[in-house]
Amino acid sequence: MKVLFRSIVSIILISNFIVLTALPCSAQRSVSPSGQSGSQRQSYMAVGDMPGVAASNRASLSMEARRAEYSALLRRKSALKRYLPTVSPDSADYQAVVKSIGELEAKLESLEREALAATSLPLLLSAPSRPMTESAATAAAWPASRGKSAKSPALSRNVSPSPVSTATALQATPALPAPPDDDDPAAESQPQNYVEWINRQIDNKVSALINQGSHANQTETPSESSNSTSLVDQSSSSDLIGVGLNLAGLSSGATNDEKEATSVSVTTSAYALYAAIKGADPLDPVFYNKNNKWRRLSFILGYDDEKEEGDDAETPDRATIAGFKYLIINGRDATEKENEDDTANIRNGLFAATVQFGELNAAIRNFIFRNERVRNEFIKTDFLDFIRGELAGARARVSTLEQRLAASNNAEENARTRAQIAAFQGDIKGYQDVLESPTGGLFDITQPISQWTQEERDYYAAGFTTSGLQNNFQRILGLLSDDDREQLEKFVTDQINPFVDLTKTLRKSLERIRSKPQLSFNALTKTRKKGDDEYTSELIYERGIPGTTRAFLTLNGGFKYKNSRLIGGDTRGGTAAGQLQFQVTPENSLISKSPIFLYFSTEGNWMSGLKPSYKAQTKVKIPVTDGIEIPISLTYSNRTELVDESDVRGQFGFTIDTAKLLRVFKFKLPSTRERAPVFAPIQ
Amino acid sequence: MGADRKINGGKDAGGVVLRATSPINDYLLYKVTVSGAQPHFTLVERGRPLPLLEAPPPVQKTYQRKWPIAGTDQVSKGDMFEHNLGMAFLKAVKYRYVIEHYDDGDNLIAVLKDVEWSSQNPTSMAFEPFVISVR
Repeated sequence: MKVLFRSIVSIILISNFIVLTALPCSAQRSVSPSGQSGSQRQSYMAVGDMPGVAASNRASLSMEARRAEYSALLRRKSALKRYLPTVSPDSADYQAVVKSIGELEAKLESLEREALAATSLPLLLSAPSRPMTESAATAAAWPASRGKSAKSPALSRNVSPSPVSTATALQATPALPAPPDDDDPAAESQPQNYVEWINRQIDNKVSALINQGSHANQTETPSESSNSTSLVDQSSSSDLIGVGLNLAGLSSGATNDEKEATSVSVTTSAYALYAAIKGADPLDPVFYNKNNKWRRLSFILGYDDEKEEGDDAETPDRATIAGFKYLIINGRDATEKENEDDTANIRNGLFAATVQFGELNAAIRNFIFRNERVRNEFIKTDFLDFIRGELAGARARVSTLEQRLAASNNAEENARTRAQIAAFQGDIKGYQDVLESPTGGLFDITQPISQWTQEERDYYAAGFTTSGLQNNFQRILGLLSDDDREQLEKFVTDQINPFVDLTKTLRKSLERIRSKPQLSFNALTKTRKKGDDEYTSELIYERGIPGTTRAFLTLNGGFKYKNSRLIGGDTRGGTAAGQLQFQVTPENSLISKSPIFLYFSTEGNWMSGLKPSYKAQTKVKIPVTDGIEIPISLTYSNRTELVDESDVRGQFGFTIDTAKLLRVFKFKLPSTRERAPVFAPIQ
Repeated sequence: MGADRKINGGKDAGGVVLRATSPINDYLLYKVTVSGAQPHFTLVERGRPLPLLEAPPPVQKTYQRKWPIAGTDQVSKGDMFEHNLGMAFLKAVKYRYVIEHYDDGDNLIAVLKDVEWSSQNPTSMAFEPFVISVR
């Protein structure tokens, strides 16, 4: 009874932990935009009335105060822009938010102008003001990418340009806090840049979702344990370490707690041990493929607490379970030659999808770039900033080449260096011409790309894709109308077929691999201090049922020997079991759950000196989260071990697959390979 | 559902201006590092029938390719190229994609892109674009 009580308490504690862990997340995500967010919005919209923003007071504000005010306004604008997509465009709320954003933008521009006037830097005064970006973090990434050369002071086009605008100067100041992305959990789920956005658009259109992880990886205690919820052993074990824990056994006729029991087993593959010994990353593809034979062998170690009928002892007899499993046929290994057809299909499908992605990406990028509002409110100033950055980079390269020229006596090399300097100087002239042009960077975006100048093409390729699409994508999106956004979605919808085809190919490949046959040899011992020791060896065969995608057949056949402590009491005989496994629900990684599985199984035991025993079992395995499942089973037996009567018992427990859990938590063993240099410059 | 994208060190350029014509012969180095059993990725140049880089057997941890390669990749001043990386996660759980910019003396000028795509969903796919303007 104590064991049962402890088990129930454990379940409750674990369940509470899971629930309590999950609750804050769900609570944060379930906030209604019209509820709490609405009240937050009110506070954001009231900022415009802040006394500190009044023009009469602004003149007396210090630079630090301006920064703080600027940051606060930017924060509120960012929050409102995140809130905006959650409101119906037809609602009055939407209009009010749009109006507030406009007011905040006006105040931000006003602050920029004041800061511009306050600074004495001629460059700042002469440069047009660049609109503040939505995120200081992403803005910081732009200059951060302008790093120095590893081997020389040569700088790329991204190399530390001079401050070119008041906004940049404000952002570059450490005192300026980052925008409040962290305080809004919803912001985390929003695509932070164009690449994330377009991938998510594609994902959203492609509905097929299949979770990772072979259902055949056994993490339950082996069927040799009397309390196991698994009647039929499966043919493979977890790649890393699997832990099976049965918390309680419940008998339908257990009025006197006679069948309380607890069992624990740990399953680990020789591969996991070998990787740990070698200090290798088990997910290193080279190590994974080179050592695939190690994955054929796995070990099981555990115990099974039993209480015999009529036993008055408080402590149950603990049986030790030990064994190993060897995969004789492993058709499911990713490295098997039989799976190469799938590899070729995937390669072809991926190539087709990537080609299509190129077309889709170009169409969307062109559409956004040619948008009039994007042009006027972003490109107009960003283009000139880009040119200034390129100019700084070209000058730095010239400086480096001049140093190289001064240090070298090699005539041939010097001639080439001089030619390079001349080429860069030509580029510099082009950049200066653009900056001095009366058009101020207002190139004609309606013309085909082929008719643009080199500088305009450079900006389109490198500037807009980085500062616009990657660093300021939310701002760019905010400049698009609803119709524009619909058009973007239409681009994706119209070109989705190759992505759907690839998903189908991947799913088909996954199903094919999962249905490949596996044959394993399993040896297991169960030794007891008081009772009989048991030794079992068996062959396990498993494969998908042809013509189905969610049904699997498992067959066990083996020999069992029971070594009795009574002279002449030994028993031996054969066992056979079969199981049909059905995947009830589709696999769904969206909520990080494995599918629900339903099992029907039978087992027969023919032991010498005993009447044959037969069992039938129905089991359902319910996922709690990725890597943790609750198996619940109902078993009918024609007889118990000692009493010639039928028995029906139900059981439940937890199974934990650490391989899945570790993948969830992105666990990674130390890799000697990763520490070693992997790159040598190509000549 | 889809794959997760992580940016390392803020290196997330969408494109680059590459001086890859004589006398300045800068080049890019594409590197794809894989975690898992078997990678499925392809680096495709828009309009080009064959991939620039993919993962034929034998499997490796890191695949890399210089671009442009003299005699293989034809580039002229004013050209614009789009290189898109496609990744599938059937037998791999993570791809790290790095683009480095070198001068003709093999001096690293900048790391333009350093991103990681990861997924636990074997039917996931991900795509990473990059645009090059040749001077």
